[in-house]
Amino acid sequence: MKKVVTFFQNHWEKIVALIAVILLVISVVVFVCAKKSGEVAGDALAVGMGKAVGSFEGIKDASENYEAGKEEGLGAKDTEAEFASEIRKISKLQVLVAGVKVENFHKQNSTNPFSKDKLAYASLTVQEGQAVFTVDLTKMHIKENLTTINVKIPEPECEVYIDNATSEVIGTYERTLFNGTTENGLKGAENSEKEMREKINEKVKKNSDLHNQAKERALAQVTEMLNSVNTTGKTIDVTFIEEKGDE
Amino acid sequence: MSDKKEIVTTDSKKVIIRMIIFIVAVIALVASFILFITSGSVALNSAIKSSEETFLFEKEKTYEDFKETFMELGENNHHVSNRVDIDITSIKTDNRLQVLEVINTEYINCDEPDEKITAWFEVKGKGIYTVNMEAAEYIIDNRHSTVSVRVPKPELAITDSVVENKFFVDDSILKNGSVAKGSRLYEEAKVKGANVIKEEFSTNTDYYEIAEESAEIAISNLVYEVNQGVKDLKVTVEFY
Repeated sequence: MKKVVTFFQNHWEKIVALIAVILLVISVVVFVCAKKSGEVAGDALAVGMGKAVGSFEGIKDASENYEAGKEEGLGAKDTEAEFASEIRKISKLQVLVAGVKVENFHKQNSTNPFSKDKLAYASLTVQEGQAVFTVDLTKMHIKENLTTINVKIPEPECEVYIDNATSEVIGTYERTLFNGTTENGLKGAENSEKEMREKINEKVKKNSDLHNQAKERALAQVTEMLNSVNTTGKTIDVTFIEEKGDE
Repeated sequence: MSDKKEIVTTDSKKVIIRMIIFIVAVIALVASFILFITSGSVALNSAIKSSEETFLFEKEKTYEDFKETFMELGENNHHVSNRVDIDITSIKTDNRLQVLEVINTEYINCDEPDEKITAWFEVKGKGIYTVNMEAAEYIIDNRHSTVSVRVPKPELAITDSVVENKFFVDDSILKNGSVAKGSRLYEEAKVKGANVIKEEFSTNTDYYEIAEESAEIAISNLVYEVNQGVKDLKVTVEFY
């Protein structure tokens, strides 16, 4: 013991210096690892702390924020305005009308905890409509020479109209239990109607037979109509506008 | 004397060494202290920065995972499908001139008070008014450069309507409705809406008057365009 005390008495500066150097080394290591350690510690605490702080502040300011929201809500800022009606004078010659019958087999699922079969409702509906091909006469171009009146018209365009008043439900299936909600049924039916209309438009407009027939009729009918009011005695020659540049 | 001097020199060396050791120790201690303080600050900053990023990343990721899972579940449980068959029932050539297109919005309610259901719908309707050019009569007087066109009065030829639910509340205690009830409700609104639109378009005299004006302009323009070279051409359009 005496030796140890003597040793410390004789070498205390060296011991202090050694401890100081060791501390310095540790400090350097800590400094180097500080960034990573901070990240790890931060990550670990982030979620909990964030939720805790957020919850605390949210609850603390709840009353004040509720009042602010109430003011905002009662401010009737959610007000939309749009034109509900529109009147357009047009000049389109109908050249072909195709009667259309649409059969829609509609199915809708709903949650069923006791079975994999989720079908809650199915229906078969039939509606009537018409696909109307028209030539827009406002886009017609006329040039004449000594003997001929050259008329260029756009190709017929098709529009499909569905008469909802003809809608007839042929049959329905309805699950007895777990058959969903009225609101979901309403939304499902509304979206079905939108999809059905899009599909019909797409299919009918792509029907090349109908389109070709409409083109033939367009040339014949426009020629006939213009001949009826032609006082010049010149020949009328009707063709389609070929390129966009012709328009 | 020499030995004494040597002893003094040796003591001086020891003092210098001790001083150097002491200075090293002090510098090391100060450096350690500064490094510790700086490390703390760096660690804190890293922790803050990293935690923010991690927090946001984890929150978004977890949210997206939940969203995807529940969307899949919801889609599967409420899947709606349609099989649409289109039949062309007739094709006929037509010679009607569309002269007016009207788009109008009506509102209908299909409430069911017994079941505590309130349902209001917006009906967007379109009406097309046409003149039947098949029945047109043309009188051309080259001598007086006049063209008279007699056509039937415009009539409402096409109506179409799209129904959209704008407000729905099921205020029943048990909420014992069904998908079928909702579907029937929409079907009812479709038919009711179509009839309201037809009634509106077929009885509004203003639309017929505007359609006549439009038809007169459209037919006159047609005659003038074909007879561009005819001087002082007079065109009259009559409706019968």
